[in-house]
Amino acid sequence: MLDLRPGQLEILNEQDHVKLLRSHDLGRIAVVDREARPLIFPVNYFFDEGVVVFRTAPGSKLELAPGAYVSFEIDGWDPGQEVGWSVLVKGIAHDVTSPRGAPTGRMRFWPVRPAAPGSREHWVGIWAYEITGRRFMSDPRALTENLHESS
Amino acid sequence: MKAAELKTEVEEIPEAECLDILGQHSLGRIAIVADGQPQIFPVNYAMSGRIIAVRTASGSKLSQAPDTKVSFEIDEHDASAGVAWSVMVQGVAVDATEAFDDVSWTARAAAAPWSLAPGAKPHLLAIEPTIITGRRFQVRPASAT
Repeated sequence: MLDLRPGQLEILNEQDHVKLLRSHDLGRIAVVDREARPLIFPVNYFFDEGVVVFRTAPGSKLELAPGAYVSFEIDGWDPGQEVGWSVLVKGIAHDVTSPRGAPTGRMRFWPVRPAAPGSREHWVGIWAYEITGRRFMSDPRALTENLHESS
Repeated sequence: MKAAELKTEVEEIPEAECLDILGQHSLGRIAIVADGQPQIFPVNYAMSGRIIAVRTASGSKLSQAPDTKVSFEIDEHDASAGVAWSVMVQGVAVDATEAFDDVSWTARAAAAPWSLAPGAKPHLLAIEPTIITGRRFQVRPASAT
């Protein structure tokens, strides 16, 4: 990753995506409900082999995610450095609670640790087909130019 | 420790408190359905009453949001307090850049919904909430699996 200048935007590469996804454990999944509404849920996850795995209890995520196109996102903002970044994963979700082969069987041993109370016995994997990421340093001088001129 | 032994429960946050929390933060994520798929974008935002105001760039994915159903989310994990919470707003997005409806006027009154990310963002997107939900819980010990 680059040494950013104020106002600079960096498009992250695959190596950066993997590094960021593997060094965090809290992200958000977006699914679409039956009324075509996108919904966002924070989840604890583990990433490996191009798959984001999280655990869940019966509910919206388990009803809507398996078999569907979903998105997953992590981001960060360092107020001291004024640097922000995000990684977006597009993928197809599958229920991996009952392993059907070697790769999904291994996932059940991944360290997915939900912070929320309650039993989360269902395991869902998001097979990524596109990962994008960006990183930027904010430019305080540009903020005023971005203000809305409605007044 | 087994999950069943934990005394903590997930607590629902009342709508009025969700709005208070939304007013105390400025970084969230918006989800839209674009190209048939839900997509998430981190955004800076500002509140104006119940309306969420977000600046967007021309030609961005978020420019597809107006007049569609969207969701907006903020969350936080306070490791020192051992508390995590999230607030989700479901609603409809409105292009508030120049429109004369009440939602757009309200959005334009938001206090400087600037964007920290580089690039010109001449458009103003407003989210009018239909459902606001929040949840909060004590984080379970790291040793739990």
